[in-house]
Amino acid sequence: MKINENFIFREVAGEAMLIPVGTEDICNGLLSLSAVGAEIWKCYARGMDENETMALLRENYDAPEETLRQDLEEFTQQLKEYRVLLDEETDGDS
Amino acid sequence: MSEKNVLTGGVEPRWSYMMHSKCARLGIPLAGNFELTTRCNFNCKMCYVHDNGNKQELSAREWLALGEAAVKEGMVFLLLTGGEPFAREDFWEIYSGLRRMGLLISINTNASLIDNAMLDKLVKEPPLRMNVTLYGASNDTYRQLCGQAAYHTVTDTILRLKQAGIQTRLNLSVTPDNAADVSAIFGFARAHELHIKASSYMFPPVRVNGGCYGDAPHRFTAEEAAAYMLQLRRERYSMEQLAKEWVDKGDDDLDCVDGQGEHIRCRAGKTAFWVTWDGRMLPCGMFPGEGHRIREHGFRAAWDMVRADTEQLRMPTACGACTYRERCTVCAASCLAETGRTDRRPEYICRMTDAYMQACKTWLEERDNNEDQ
Repeated sequence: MKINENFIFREVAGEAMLIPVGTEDICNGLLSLSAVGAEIWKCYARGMDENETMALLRENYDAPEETLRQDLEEFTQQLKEYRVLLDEETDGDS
Repeated sequence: MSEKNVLTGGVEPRWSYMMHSKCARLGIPLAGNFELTTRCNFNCKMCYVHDNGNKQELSAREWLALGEAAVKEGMVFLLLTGGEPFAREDFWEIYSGLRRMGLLISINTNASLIDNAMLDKLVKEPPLRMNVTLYGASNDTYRQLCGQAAYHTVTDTILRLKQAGIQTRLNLSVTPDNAADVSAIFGFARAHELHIKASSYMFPPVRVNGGCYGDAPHRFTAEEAAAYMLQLRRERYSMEQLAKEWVDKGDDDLDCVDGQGEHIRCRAGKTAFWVTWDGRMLPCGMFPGEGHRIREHGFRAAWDMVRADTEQLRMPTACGACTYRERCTVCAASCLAETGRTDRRPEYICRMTDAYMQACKTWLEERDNNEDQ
């Protein structure tokens, strides 16, 4: 899994967002991220996998393990649907 | 954790309102307008900026440097406008470079210069939205108002943009030269499910008329503009919606409001700025005046000066106490263009608003009478 470099992560006025800049985007608006979403994105951008990201969330958030894991999985799936995250095997070098 | 595609659905979504509100408090220039050129292949009679003179526009490299500086300060929304932006030979270099910075770009255009090659490029690197001004509903009207019989070219392009999945909005400026086409233009929009932003108020073009405030020879009288304002609203809304708006906004007498002139109410100089073709920053493009030269001061300092200027501006005292203040389209820029000052009562707009309110009352009374019969 790798991040799609055709999206730029920006933080303005404390609000995080992903803006498509490439030529094969599936949206021409932006993806607005919550604070947790932004933290997860930063983990992936640093090359961390889901397990490492989960460990960081566990450290930083006082929420049940199951809730955190479910949120992480759902958000990761969303990022994949929007092709913000790419499967290295199926998406090649895109 | 993600709100998904928050800007692709509506015209002005809540996220945008929230961001403007936050950025206004923090002094962040969220929304920029880059007036890339004053050149245009049309020659519209009421244009406030058109000039085909051989002038020294900012280069593509300068626009890109300006974009980088603005992004660093927080710009997310950018409108590319002109003149006609596509009249620049280096338009694509500017657009594509700015887009890669992580900006949501809208483009104002007359849509007559977008050929198939450019359309393909727009499809590959889509803007947030294309704002296409539709000047009429026939070649005759286009020739009369714009000097070019471009109606079919423009409408073909609009449909190709829409077919290609590029979000497209129509702009409409109603003047004596195209007033007869208003219903047909709305018919075109309805047939193709396109949103229209329309106005019958034309700013005096003080940027190109030698600074003659209030002088706008190619616009309606105030009373005619009011009649068309009502027609535009009737084209867009049902009778029930219009009547409800009238009731919801009330018709209170606000004469007891404190007589101090108010600060300006729009986003200009709070979260939004305008850069002219030659690199001067203004609160908005309708502000006549020198502004602040970015080459001289740098982006951040120019923005700080625009903000400070805007903070000092006051609207007319009479506006704060006016019965019609909630329904009036007056703004600081229109006061300035009409009178030379932001705090001077703009007679034309007062007459237009008064006539509009009278026309609404008459229309509602006729509607009620018809219902009683």
